[in-house]
Amino acid sequence: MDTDIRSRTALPSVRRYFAHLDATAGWLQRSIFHGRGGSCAHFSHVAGWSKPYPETTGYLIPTLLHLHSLFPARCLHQDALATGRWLLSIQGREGSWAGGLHPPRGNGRPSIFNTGQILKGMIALYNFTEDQEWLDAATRGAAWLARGVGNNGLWEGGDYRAQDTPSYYTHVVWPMLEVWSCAGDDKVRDAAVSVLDRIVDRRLPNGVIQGWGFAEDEPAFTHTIAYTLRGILESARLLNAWDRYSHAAVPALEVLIRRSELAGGRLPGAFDANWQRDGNYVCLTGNAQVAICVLLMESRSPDLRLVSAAARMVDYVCSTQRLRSPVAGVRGAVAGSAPVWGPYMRLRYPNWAAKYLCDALLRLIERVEREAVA
Amino acid sequence: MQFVLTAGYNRAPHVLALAELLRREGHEIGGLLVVSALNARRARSLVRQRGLGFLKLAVRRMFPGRRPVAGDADPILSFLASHRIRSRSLRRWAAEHGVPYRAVKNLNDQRSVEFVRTSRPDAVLYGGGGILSPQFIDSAQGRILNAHSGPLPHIRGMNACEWSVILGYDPEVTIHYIDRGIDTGAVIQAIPVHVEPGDTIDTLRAKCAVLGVEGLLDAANKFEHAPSPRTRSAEITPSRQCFVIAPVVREILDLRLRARGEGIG
Repeated sequence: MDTDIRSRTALPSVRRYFAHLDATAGWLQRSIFHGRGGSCAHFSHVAGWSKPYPETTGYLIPTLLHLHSLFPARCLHQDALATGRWLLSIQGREGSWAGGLHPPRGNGRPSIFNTGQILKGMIALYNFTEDQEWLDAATRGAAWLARGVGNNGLWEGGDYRAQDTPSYYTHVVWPMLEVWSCAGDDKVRDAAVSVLDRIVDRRLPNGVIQGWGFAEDEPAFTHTIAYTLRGILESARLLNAWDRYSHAAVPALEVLIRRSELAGGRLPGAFDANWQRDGNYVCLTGNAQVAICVLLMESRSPDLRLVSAAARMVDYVCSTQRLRSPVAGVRGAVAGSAPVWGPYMRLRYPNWAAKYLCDALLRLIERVEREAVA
Repeated sequence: MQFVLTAGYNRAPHVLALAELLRREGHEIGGLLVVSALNARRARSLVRQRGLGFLKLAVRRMFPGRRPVAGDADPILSFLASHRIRSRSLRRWAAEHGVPYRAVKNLNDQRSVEFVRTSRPDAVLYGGGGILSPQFIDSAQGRILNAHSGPLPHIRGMNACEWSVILGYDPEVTIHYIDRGIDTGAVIQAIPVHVEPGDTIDTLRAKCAVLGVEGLLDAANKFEHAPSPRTRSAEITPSRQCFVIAPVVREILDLRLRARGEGIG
């Protein structure tokens, strides 16, 4: 860890957070080293490092670039650029990316969700390098997404569910709006808003947004719940329409905050449509993602009680991490579930859990350091 | 007047002080309802909410290891000594004074609710034991007084002393009725807590404990003239509830308190 980082803050917890960030950044670099161009989807004790996952490699790029500013010696920007070039090399002619791990089985079916996530990497690289090729790739991807929106204002067909657009596709709307904010294509914006409007209309009186899980009639992991909420909040920010859209996400977040606070920062791994917990495990990536949503909400109405709630969620995820382990695939990794044999990514350490822990820590550190010097 | 007191554990010094001072003032203690500390479910729930550090604190509370002396650094122990309260256990104190003592697993269980209903106290004075159920509140006809370590209605919930400092409120102990919400009952009295140079959050909390005892004693003495319990939540939109403070936010609080102490000096 860089000496200037260790000495830059008086808060012991922030020094601890930097230790977790450093270890997690190291794990992410190992996932790229083993990833044959991208970042491995996960590590498991049984199968070792998996094949690379274009979707999560794409949204890992902004995290790598952010981490680079804190740990320049790790040269994480080189990893971001290398994985970005790999993603360019596998982009479809019409602008999309295929679903699943790489290489895909057969020809690979274009994926709405994966394309959306990869746009985040392209935009981050464009902002970092100001090189037009990244924006061109993003624009083609966003245009392909916009063309797929049907007359009902939703995508026709999907990835995991064929009939309707899952609500966590707000996490596709958000990167489309990121591309629109850079490239200014109003067709992309209009398509994104039409999807967002329809998903927001699915909110139930108890704050649940119907269809936010992988399967319609099963409890939703906090991972996809947080995708849905984050997509709404980030879209509201980009559209400068916070009041119009945030009301769809805030009631659910309030429920999640309360549930987490009463359990010491441990959110149940999944909820049904009545907010009943499913099982006795924590979906660790969901815990970190919800913390990010809470901090995003707090950025609009500052309140240290919300920062504390987010910190406790992040602290719990950190408490499950092993910073020292002889197994390189476990050192600095974040498991899918706690306990590790829980149903979400059972016995595996996904790269997106590591990514979201880093994102949550980066936001939290920035927020508490601002407060500490106030 | 007759009062029933609750406590979160047998050696709760603030409840000991309150019980003894009420007795000296001539009030009748109708009973002590004390939650048993040896309860795995409760211990697990508290550790989940407050972290493993809570276990250390709980052991220190249950086995203080020394007798209170006047001028003790801990204000509540000093308070006990200055009032010559020598008993260290509520069970023993109750036996000495012929007061019914009930060790319960949970204040909300049927046994506790029945005890309050049949005792028919003028009021229950809450000295800890967890969130009360509507059944318990109804059994006391809503006449349950609490000393909350923060200014109401602004700071509701846990770690109120910490949150009042960090959110920029002057620390206060509020004597109020307990209703079905979290710290939403009608306020009887607000007592300011003076912050002095060198104060830490621990010393402030201890000061709150003493002021809470004095506030509840005062409220008990004037209870005949106290306002009736009413539902506060219907009148005021409750503020965001406070929960256990995260370690990193507690560190910010320590910085603020140091700055505040330096400012006072």
